[in-house]
Amino acid sequence: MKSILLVLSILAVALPVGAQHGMKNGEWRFYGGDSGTTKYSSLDQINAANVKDLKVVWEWKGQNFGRRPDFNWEVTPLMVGGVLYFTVGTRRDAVAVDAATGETLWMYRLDEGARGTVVARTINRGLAYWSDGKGDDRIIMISPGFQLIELNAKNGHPLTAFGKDGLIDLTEGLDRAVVKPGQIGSSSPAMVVRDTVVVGAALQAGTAPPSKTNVPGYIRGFDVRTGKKLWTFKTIPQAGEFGNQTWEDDSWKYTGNTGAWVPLAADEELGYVYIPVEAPTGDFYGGTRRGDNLFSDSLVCLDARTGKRIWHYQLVHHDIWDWDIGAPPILVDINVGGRPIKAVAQLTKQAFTFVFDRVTGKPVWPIEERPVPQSSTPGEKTAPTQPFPTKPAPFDRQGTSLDDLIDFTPALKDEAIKIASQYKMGPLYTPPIVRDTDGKLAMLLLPHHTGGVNWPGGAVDPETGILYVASLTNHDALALSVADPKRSDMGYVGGGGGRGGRGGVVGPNVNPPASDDGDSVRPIQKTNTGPQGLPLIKPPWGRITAIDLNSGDHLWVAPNGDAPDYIKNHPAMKGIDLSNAGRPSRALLMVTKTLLFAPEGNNLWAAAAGAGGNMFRVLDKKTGKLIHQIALPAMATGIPMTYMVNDRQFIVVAIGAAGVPAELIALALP
Amino acid sequence: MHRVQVCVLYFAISCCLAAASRSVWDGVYTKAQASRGQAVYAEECMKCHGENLGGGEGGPPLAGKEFLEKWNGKTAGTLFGLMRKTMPSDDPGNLSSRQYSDLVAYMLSVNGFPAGQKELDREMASLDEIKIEMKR
Repeated sequence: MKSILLVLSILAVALPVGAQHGMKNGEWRFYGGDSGTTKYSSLDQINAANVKDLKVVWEWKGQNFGRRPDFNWEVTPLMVGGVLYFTVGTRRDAVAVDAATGETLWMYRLDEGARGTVVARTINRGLAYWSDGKGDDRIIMISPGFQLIELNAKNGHPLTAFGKDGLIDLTEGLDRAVVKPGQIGSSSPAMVVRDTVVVGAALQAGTAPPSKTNVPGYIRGFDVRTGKKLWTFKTIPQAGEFGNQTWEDDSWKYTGNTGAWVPLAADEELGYVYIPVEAPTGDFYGGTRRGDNLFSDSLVCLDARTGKRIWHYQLVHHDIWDWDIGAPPILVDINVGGRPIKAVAQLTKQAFTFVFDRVTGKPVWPIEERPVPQSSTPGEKTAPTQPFPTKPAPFDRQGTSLDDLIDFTPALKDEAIKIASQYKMGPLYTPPIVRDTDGKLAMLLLPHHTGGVNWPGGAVDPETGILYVASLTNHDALALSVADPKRSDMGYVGGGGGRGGRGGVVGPNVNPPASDDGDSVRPIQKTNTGPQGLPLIKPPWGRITAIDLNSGDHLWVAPNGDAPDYIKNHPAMKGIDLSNAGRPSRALLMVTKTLLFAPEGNNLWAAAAGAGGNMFRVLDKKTGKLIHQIALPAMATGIPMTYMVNDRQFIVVAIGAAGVPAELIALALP
Repeated sequence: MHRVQVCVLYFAISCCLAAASRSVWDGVYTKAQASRGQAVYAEECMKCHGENLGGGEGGPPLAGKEFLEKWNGKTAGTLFGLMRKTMPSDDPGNLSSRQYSDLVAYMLSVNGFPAGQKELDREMASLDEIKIEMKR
């Protein structure tokens, strides 16, 4: 008996980690490939030996969808049964396309009238799919005006028996008497878990909110067949509910946001859905909502059929950095010290990888509450501690000090120090300051409040448990201003310190590049605020990190392509080795059995100037070394996906740029 | 020849005098125009610059002290020209001149400058006559 146990134990250790997730039948049924958002496919027709032969085999153009062309198409199509399904254009029409040829099969356009004109989010990332396996196949769409719709996957006809005359008004049931157009919507698709559709929410960015009162981004579950609402998970708990006491001074009554704007993840076997919750109203000032503010910035696991909370973990207490959970949860089965664990890995804007047992919510490696700097802003009450995972190590720079500034030459270093000295620097979780506090213009926030990582997140190989993360190294100059009472009741709003968000002018000698490269029409951006228009922070400005989730160790770090031309050709950079500098953008990762695909592009708004290279890069999974690269007609704007049709493996990716309307590109071997 | 030079000189002086001869305090747009601009703003600009022009993830504030400090002393024409050249950031220049002009009117209204009887023009020469001044 003992020997059998021993053999079993050895087997358990020696067996590869679970491969429960990842695509089946060469399809891509979910936005992130599978419900676990692995962005992994077991297809291997395209491999290291033949990838150099990849050719563009068709293009599908989206120029005439929507009132004006879309240039920043963050879509990833689904592929089911040889058909691609995706949203397109500023009106978010739904389209079905032959996956082998790119031929349009059907399109669906919902005329929402005024409701669809002023919307919280024009960005669209795609669709969801459900099938009963007996021929009832449905496409599930969230409209720009925040309505839930189901279409017959075969012909695109709306299913009028769903909801009320085929529509569900998602602005209802949000504990607000009036929800104005444009206050709430969703840019990410719904998540289907068995027979339940789970819907998140996205709201206007909270840099300088007009009011502390806003709509809450509750999470809802609907029956996929009828549209009947099954449950509402109140991300801001109401009176008597768990977590309500974390909202001081009755701030739960009026505070909003706290939605889930990135794609959700789910474990279909467990029947659980994983919700990455965003920050509450007021990205940089929380004096109107003192307390820890559950369930903001929390990873929440719900029973998808009942909405019952199984577990949660708050990753930022009382967020005043806009470091909400900006990337989809990634589900993967790992083996830590011989112990198999069904895990969920949550990447964060502030460059942490939080890893939990996704059944229990128990951290795989200890998470420590550590004291953090406190705010001096009137009315603000900073959380005394924040959670720090002890493993894996952060995948990008955190906090700022003189050691983080560029030092290519002594002269550039001196200039960088002179610029940085105008700002407050400090460790991770140093709070924003009111402009001109102690003579400082702003606080240098690193990672930027758009991350580190953002919606592109990462990809995982479920056969090895190795997680690939694409991150951006870019600071923000973050300061608060006293809010004009005529325009906001927040007390303080962001945007006073050389600008919240992008466009900040920092310091003297600012001479930003007019565009990414000479031939781009991208408008002037003033994000590179270091010496002579160079970045202030050391490279790599964009990187890919491989993390073994079985050990928690980093395996390799690779730069995201070349430094932008405007840096390489900068007179001050003459003779400087920039081979590992990388583009200041987040690569859009997809992993297959054979290769790591990493188009170096990014979206137009959440990155530094010089982001958005056109190269579709293919990397060695084991080393991060470049195997091949393909120049696309424009930068990739969506995460690539892959599938097999007629024994041919295709890779499809959305591209676009300012002045280059969105299209899909399909790559395959000849 | 001498007369030609005198004429040129006179013209140049006239132009200089004409430039920025009015200010944003002189009622240089109408309420109706600002209202049209508000509709354009909600559809085209709000997603980056915020609901109340306070700034957002994608764009800086377009109203308030910081904005006015930046534009103080410049002209409505310069603002109009920059917007037409660079905005919307993904599709620069592809709104109509009337829409850009209406947007400037809306921005002036939110920044507290008074409306008047005549609409803000959409010709650069005319817009360049209007100086942006933080204080009257």
